[in-house]
Amino acid sequence: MRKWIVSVVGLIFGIYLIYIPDTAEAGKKRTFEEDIKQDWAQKVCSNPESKVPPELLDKFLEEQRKLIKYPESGNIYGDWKRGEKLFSNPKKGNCYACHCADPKELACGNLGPNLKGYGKKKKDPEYTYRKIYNSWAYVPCSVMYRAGVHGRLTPEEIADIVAYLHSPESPINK
Amino acid sequence: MIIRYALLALVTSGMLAVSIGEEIKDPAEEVKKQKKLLLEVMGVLPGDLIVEEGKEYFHKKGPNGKSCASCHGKDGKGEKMPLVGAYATMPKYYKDIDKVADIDLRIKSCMEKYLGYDPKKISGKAGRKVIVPLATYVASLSNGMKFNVKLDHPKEKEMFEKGKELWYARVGKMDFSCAMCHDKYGGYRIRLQTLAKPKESKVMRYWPAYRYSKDKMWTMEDRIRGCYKQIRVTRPPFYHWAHVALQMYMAVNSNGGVVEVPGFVR
Repeated sequence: MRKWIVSVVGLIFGIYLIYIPDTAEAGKKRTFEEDIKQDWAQKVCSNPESKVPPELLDKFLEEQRKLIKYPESGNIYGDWKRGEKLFSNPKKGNCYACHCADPKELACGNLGPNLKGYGKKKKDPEYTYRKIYNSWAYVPCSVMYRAGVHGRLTPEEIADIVAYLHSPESPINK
Repeated sequence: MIIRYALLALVTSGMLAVSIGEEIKDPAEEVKKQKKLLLEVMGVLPGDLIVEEGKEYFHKKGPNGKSCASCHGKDGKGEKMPLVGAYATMPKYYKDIDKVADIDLRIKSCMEKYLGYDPKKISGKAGRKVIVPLATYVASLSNGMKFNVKLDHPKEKEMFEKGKELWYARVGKMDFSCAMCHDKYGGYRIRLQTLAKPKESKVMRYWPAYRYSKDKMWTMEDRIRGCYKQIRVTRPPFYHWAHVALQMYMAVNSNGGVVEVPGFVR
């Protein structure tokens, strides 16, 4: 009987030990309050017109431009095939949520412009890179999320999407 | 009951099959079609069954022997504290709990304070199983009446201001706000889903609503949590002040709208 109790207590203690790191992890769980904390730009954009007051516009644009970083290699034109996957992946670019692009993808949103033939019309990959990295450096308070600023896409991943949008091989430009 | 769920499963799986091959359709027409389809197959709308379920809970005794009906009367039509028309004035400040409450929080508070439920036991999923049908039933008692939320109490005004602030706040890694999707881009599509215009449609008048795409009854708290999830912001827990605040903002914008619960939405 004693042995039983000892082993059961031991087992419970063992399970407790296993779960300690888990509860520590749970303690770090993000909360709603943390997630609704805003950066300065988000605060400025939080008005019914979703516009930056004119007197703040220069400062706003300058700050947003400063946030743009480039890949270490300096190459902003990556691999279009990788870019294609990142573009459609809901956990990465999730670009089809708002844009149509490859005509084969029918489940595409219309908050942003249709990107079909993008590379034929736009000839400046660096602009594309910067716009994806931080749309607010071009259109303050735009509905387009700042993929690079928030780290949802790395500089290298953005470079791949740039290639997908510009490459003549890409289905977008066929 | 089993037959009901089997039928539901059948119908919803049919809907899914339809929606996979789906192209862009007029969302209002689509809702009408799905409603008609469900009525044909089941002979009754799932939301109406949930109202009945809520009615049963309303008259069921809690741990201390009291039911909702003990205070509010049979079918909520008592002489004291009747609930007919109550929903059309919510969220509202309640003296007994010294809080502004939406319908979810009001019901949960009653269950704890007057029916003797252990708060721990009803704060999670088990609680939702009872609170959602109850909310649907109680809200339906205001059907046909006009939404008329007033900001008389200072705490109500404060809640409204907090809700307005949240509505316009650009937050999280997607830089979204409620207003971006539901004011500025209301009517546009995220993928194939048309974004609702809750202010224009006086949204509070038809929630809680049955969502045919999920085969679930949702209160506005469920809906708000769903929105935050979609914009990658950690969801506020149920009964959190953010739910009350946002509903206060939407309710004031729903004033004048005629209550029609349960709603039927995608």
